[in-house]
Amino acid sequence: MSLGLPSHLASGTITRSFGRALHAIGLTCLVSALLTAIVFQAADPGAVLWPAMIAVLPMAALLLINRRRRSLFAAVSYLAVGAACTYWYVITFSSQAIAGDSFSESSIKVALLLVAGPGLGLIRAALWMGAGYLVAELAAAAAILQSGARWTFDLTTAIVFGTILVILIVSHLSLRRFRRAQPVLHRSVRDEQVATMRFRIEAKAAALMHDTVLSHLAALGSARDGELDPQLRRQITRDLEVLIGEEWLDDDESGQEGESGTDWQQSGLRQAIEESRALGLEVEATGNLAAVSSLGREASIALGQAAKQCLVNVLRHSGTTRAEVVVYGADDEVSVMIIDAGKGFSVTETGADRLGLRQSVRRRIELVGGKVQLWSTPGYGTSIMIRMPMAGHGGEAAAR
Amino acid sequence: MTVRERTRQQLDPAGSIGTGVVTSVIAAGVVVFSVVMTLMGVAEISSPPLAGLALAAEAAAAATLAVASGPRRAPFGREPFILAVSLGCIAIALSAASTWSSDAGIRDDWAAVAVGVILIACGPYRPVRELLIGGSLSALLVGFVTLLQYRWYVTEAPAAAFIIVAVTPLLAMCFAGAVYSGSVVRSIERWQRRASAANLSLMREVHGGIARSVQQDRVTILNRDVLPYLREVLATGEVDEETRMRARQISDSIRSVMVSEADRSWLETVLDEVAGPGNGQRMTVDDPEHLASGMAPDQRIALRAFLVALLTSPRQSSPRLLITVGSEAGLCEVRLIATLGASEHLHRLTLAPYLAVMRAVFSHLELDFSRSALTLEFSYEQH
Repeated sequence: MSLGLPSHLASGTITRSFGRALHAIGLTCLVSALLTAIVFQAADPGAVLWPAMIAVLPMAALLLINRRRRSLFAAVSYLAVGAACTYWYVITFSSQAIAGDSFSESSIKVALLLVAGPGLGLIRAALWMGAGYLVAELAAAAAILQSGARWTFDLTTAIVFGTILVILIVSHLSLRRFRRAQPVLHRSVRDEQVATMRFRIEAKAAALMHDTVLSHLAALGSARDGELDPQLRRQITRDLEVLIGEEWLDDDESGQEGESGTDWQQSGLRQAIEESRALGLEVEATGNLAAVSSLGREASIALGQAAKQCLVNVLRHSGTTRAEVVVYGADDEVSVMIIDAGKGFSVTETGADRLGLRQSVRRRIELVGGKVQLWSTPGYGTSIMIRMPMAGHGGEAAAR
Repeated sequence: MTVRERTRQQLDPAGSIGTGVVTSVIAAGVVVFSVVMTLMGVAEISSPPLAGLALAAEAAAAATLAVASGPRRAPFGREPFILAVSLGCIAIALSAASTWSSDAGIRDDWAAVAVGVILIACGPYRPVRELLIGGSLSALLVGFVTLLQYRWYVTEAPAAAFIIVAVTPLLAMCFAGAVYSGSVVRSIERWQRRASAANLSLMREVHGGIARSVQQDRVTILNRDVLPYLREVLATGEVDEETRMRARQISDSIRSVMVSEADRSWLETVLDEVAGPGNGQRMTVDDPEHLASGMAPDQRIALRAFLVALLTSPRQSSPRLLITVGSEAGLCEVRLIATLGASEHLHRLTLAPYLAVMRAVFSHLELDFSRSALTLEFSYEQH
């Protein structure tokens, strides 16, 4: 992602593109000159116009060479060969007193003045164009005078020359302004990416803190007098090792999609269901369970952690020990519905400090590009729908 | 989010501000050229009112071009382009009608050239395909008009030769505009690909450092109360009233820290980064639903760059800032009011490139400079 060209590339890019545009005009004019000769030849089969048709070809070839690789030699060759070809073209028409010269001499002359190629500065481009204009006019005038025809000033070519010169000057001058903003813009791109990355890592850390520390503190806050529950002891010991261990957040997530291919047996969702069953929740898993294998690695882990939090919430708050997990698979997303028939709650009255849903479910899922919807009514249970995009369908984007 | 078109103006908004001046000069040139050519060919005009109308249509086309290319109206959309080219085509038809049965030759027929100039002037603003379509349709019209008129031309030549000469300037400039547009866009996109690849590898490098610093912050919080407490509980293996009470106390304090962190909006974080922490008295963000976090990445970058330019300008001493974010019918609306320390003109000049970028990524951007304050309003769709 970027917001425009940096200063050191802008000037070169614009003048190069401008040069290519001029060459497009030149090529169109040469094609027009060739077509004009063909049309006149077809209308008057007795005339000898093939030299004019051939005269256009070397110019077109040299213009294409100038377009591909600009060099002093190529530009000078274009001017020299172009002068000869212009002379050749104009004299072919004027020596036979065919009106075609007044038609197409401008085309071939305009093609010659557009010698200024890509990547030139203002003064050099203007000088090359001036040279092209002079050479074209002199070559055409020599041909007309030699054939005995009357020379008249060619307004069309002069207007084209003047117009392109004005555009060239004004665009060069306008390029100089406003380039100072680019460094700030490019720094903002980087700062924002770093900020987004920090936000993602912090959100992940917050979710992990919630799932571990706050969960244990809540369990301890409501534990009965006496010996510490052995299962809680095991969990606290395991989580303490993780939390004070190193690199618990350092898995690379810098915009890379995780590979898909976690099958149901190894999926985060299955693990969450198994762990919840171990805590005493009766979980019935139905639907297209294999669909979770289409999720990326990151998405599968996030789904498992979020589903675990939902199931723990059922156990803690719903007053029931039964929950149902239904998996739906569509072309571009996997939906997981977690349903309980417990006491439910009023969604609008949920306290702002209800961190579990915010950090461990909603934010965690949003970080990998998914969406969470929740329906609950006091007395009628709770349903949570987690929708995850499949790998390659915009999942694991840098959501924030 | 606003989908950016593949044009120079939309892909490099800050760098394209200067093109407005070029386009205005070209637009003025079109009018002057049309008037001069009309006067030069006045002897061929059979209907002066139609000639006047042709000039009026051309002037309207040029005005459309000049107005739409102004930085404050950016981005130059499809509608003004269609309008300008259509007015140019109307000028072609009116100009031909004004010299009906009296047009001596094709070389002073200015209207087709003028449409060509309009097309080349649109190179920085419109994508290749639109320029080619506009040019082809106009060329068809010019060819048709030439076919109708050629019997009156004094020079004897095949009709096809007249048509070739008539459409050449138009098509040449149309191709030039299209080549320019395509070439700049390809260069910008090539740079963007290189820049994103470089950024990606940079992000991979800094990821470890950021993760460690976040972990360190968390471990510091945990080390203060939680870890000693949990270790103590594990060591004694007993639960009593004090254990429960301490668990609840620690839980409450951690929870309140986490809630305030979760409540912190993206805009507040950016202002802290840009203006330094403790700016709360001067800068207020009213975004209770955290809608600013729903901006697309390009939009966040543009707003961040604008805030950097506004708040770190050497001419701006301790500005006051109020940013309100609300939503209506699925569209988020932002209103930013800043007091200004320096003159309006200086601010306009300094902020112009950043506003150009904001215009490219947000929709409906309105700007108002009053004597001492700047009010900026813009909207976006929730990402």
